[in-house]
Amino acid sequence: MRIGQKLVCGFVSVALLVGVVGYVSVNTCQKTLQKTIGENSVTLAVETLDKIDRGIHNRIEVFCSYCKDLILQEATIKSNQEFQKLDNIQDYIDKKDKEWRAAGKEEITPFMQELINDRLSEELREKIEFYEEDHGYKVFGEIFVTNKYGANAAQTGKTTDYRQDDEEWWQRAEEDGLYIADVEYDRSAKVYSTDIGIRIDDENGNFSGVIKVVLNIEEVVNIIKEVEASAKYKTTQFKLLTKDGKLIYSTEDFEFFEDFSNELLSRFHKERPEEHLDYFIAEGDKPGEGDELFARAHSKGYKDYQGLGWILVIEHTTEEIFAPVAQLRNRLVIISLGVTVLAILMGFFISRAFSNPLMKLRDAAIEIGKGNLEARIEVKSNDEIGELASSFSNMSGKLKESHLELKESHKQLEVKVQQRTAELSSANEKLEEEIVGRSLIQKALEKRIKELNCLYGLSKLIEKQKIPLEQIFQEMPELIRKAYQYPDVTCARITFDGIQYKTDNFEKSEVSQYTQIKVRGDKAGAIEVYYLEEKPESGADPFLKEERDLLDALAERLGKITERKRAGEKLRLFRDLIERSNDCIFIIEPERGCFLDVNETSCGTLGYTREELLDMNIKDIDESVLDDSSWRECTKELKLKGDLVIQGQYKRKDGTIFFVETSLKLVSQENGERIIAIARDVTERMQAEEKLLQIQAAVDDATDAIMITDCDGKARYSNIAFGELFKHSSETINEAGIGSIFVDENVVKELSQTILGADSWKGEVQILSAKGRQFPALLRGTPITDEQSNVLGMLFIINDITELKEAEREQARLLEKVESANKELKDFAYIVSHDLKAPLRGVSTLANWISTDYADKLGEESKEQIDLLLTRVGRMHKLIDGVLQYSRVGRAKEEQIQVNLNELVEDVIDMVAPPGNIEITIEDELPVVECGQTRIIQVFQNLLSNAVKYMDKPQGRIKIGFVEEPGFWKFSVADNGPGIEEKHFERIFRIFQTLSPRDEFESTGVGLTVVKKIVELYGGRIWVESKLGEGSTFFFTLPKQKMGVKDAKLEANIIGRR
Amino acid sequence: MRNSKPILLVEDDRVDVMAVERALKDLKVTNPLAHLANGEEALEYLRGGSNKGPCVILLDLNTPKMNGFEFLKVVKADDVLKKIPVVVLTASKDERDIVESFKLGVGGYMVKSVDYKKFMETIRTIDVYWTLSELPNGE
Repeated sequence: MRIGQKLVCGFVSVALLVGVVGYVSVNTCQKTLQKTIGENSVTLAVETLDKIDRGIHNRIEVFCSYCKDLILQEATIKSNQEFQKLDNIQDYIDKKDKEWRAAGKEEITPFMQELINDRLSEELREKIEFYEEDHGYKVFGEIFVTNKYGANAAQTGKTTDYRQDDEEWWQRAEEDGLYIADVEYDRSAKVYSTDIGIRIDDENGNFSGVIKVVLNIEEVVNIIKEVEASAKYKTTQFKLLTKDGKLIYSTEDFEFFEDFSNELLSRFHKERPEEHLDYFIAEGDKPGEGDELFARAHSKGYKDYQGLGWILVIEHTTEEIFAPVAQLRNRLVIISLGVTVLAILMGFFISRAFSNPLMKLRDAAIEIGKGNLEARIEVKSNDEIGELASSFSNMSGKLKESHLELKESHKQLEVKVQQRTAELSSANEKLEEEIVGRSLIQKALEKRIKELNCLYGLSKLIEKQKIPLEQIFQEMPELIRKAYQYPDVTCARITFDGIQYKTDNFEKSEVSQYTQIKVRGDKAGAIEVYYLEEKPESGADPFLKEERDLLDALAERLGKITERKRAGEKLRLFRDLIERSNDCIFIIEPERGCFLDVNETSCGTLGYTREELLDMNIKDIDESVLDDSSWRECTKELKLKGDLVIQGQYKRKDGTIFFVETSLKLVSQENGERIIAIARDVTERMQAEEKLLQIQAAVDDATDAIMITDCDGKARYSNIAFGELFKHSSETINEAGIGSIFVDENVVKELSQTILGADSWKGEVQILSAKGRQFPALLRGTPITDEQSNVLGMLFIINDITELKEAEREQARLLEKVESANKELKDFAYIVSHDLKAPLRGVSTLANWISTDYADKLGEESKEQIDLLLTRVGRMHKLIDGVLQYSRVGRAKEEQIQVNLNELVEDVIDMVAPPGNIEITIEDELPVVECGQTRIIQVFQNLLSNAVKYMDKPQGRIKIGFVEEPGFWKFSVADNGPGIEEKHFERIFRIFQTLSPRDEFESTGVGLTVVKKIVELYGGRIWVESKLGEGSTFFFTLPKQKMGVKDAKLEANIIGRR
Repeated sequence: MRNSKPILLVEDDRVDVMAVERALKDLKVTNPLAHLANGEEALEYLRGGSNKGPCVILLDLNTPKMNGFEFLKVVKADDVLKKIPVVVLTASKDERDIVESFKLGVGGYMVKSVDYKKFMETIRTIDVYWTLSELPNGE
């Protein structure tokens, strides 16, 4: 690109930059403006709606407070009372409603008229008029009131129905207190209205009717119109929509309830730039009008009025609102265009000033390039370009001079090259002569290399560490053949230890070479080499001297290799033996005790690697070597004796400890003394020994007599108890054997037969002691077997059961006694009930007859005596019954059932039937228990009737309490009666014990005894706490575990039914 | 009683017999009372052809020689005798006695009261019941 063009481009880009900056700033302005206007519009909409909600709320408020009006309250209450007198309210309302609707559209029946003329209706009309005068338009359309049955009670004009409780507003007002219907529009009257239903409550807050008001919401429109009038922009439009998007009001002409939900509301969802913004800019709803800005707000209600969810949308044409920005943009375009044109013109002129002298310079340079060194430039300016032109002219002059010098030196160089070529050709001839001489020497060298190859092959074979000797011998003949002068006709054989190794082509011939292989000086084999063809040069030695020397050297080598390999194998075998030994083997340096070598078993047993162990010291693993000094003592002793066996403990890497038996041996070697330690893990042996010792001790001290015999019954062992049982020393008893102790010798045969058949024998036998005492004993004999179940001997355990037998007999005797005593007791109870009572009854009957039959003959005193006689008979009777009852508690078997004590105790209270001045209460929720029902009734009945019987206060209080404690339930029966002195706390639970004189309180003294017996029968406890004069509390417990209901579901059921 | 057949009383205690007699008299029950001291004698009486079958048997359980249960077992095994209603009149309140008696098909179980007035009430109840209740007709 030419310099001129570059300059023009530069200027144009500057101009473009100005344009871009201008464009960006205009855009930023527009966005800011758009945001401000959008947010302002949303705020405007919110405020407007707020005003509307507040206006509606005020109207509702008027009527809510009106509901408390006295006249209104009276009228509804009166209407409700009248309706209550009716037989069938619904029929009445239906009938009236039918008549109501049957009337003509304009017709007003007398019934309606009556309602319209009502005092309340009058007042409501006045209210409507008041508001109309005050606001200049009809604020309330109509008002009517219903009673709580939904029938009209007052109305400002005729309503369509009489029955209102089927209307939604009525039901919702009854339920929620307030109902506001959505807006209605009367096109002809151009009136907006909404129905408001409010529940009327009487002063007690009970529902007593509903008031319905038709509210003209002209005000709403007025509010919007006011805002419209004060709008900043001429094109601004307002649209008020219901929550479903139905149009209520628009600045333009509009159709009421036109659906805008799709056209407008859904656009908000789609086109809002961000979720939290409530405005957007998009194409207007009328084509050709350009973009518009849409903003909206939702009605949120005011105070307790929740609003109807109205939506107010405000629209502005962007043309108007963004007019200032558009003006700015236009100016900017004009400025940037001007700057661009100016830049292009300036660029053009400046470039012309530069490019003319430069063109001349270029043309001159091209001339010089073509070889015309005469070229010169004429530039008359004094600036940098002028200087450049003059220095260019100087340069072309100097160029011409140096060109001539170059031509001269070229000619001199050509002469020198010719001289050098001649020298080189003579040297080449000498070199060719030398090469011919060298090839003769090479042939001799090749022979030597063959020999060396053979020896090298051998040494390579030996280098392989694990190569067996045999393989070396196998490969050797082939190596030898290749080392010879004529390998094709040479064959070789090695004989070693009677085995032959030979080349494939081996064949014996006349021409041969032979040498011996010696191992440790003894002949062990030989190497033979044969030529298969006789060579033409006969007479001379067919083999070269070098070949003979080679063979000897090989034989010697093989001998030595064999010696070394054999020694190495022995050593490895020995090493393997040590490594795989079951014992840990260490070589220890005597002074410091560090390990010089260890075998694999040591590593495995101790858990260290060989490397770790070799860094360690004997005291690191041996628990008995505490420090260096104790090791020194050990080595000192070892030096004295030469070898040692020590019992000790080693520690593994993981810290576990095991028992070892270590044998130490001191050996002298070339490089000083060494200790060889062989350690054996004896943990199992130690444990077994210890166990054995324990068993031995246990058996020795066992109270049972124990004897071990061989298969013939000869004693091998008997314990202390055995000796004591038979009053023998263990020597004599061991000599006599097991056979000597039985009374019946046949028993021995029977039991040894069983035991030797690998079975155990158990039974009672008669034993004869050394002193001649016979006694019964329990004998158990078991076989002692080895691992193959061969019987090695017999084990006998003998228990003297003399005392046991006696105890058994004693027990049987006692049991029999108890049983008979028990039976006697039962019989006694029966006798008591029948036989003791019979004469008593006779006495009673006869005394009765005497007092009635001889009433006129008996004096007062005799009558009193007979009465006393009769009360004593009665008392005797009760005593007998008490005894019977007491004896029956433990005897009678009763079915255990689940009893809900809450119900049962209520029944018991009824049974006890306390007099009016005594109150019995259950204080706590009682549990469900599993027990005999009669018994638990007896417990509560006795405790409660005692409390009632002895009550001495005018106001008696008896409380039944219950506490759940760990493991048991605790019940209490507390009274405020006379109380009991502490010294009697025990006595009262004894049978026939009473504290009051019998004549004062008829008491047998059995009740508490029976209660105690029952509670104790269940494993519970009973006691009393009391303070004289203040009352007593009887406590008793029942165990939860024994009496708890196991089935939780069932319990839940029972509790559920309480 | 529904008819004028005799009432058979099996009872060994003389005072109790007197009490029954006196109660029947006080209650103006006109049926004759046949009194026997134990089960054996009662069976003899029942099986003796000359006697008129009783309308009801009042039976004490605790009688010598043959007690009430033994007597009942025999009576209930006999096709003719088992038609006669038996009411146990005893001093025992023992549950086992009550259960055993009803197992042997008694028509009632009455406990003798120590108090004569109560005893009389018992007899009155027996009389009222067996006056209202139908009885098997014939022999």
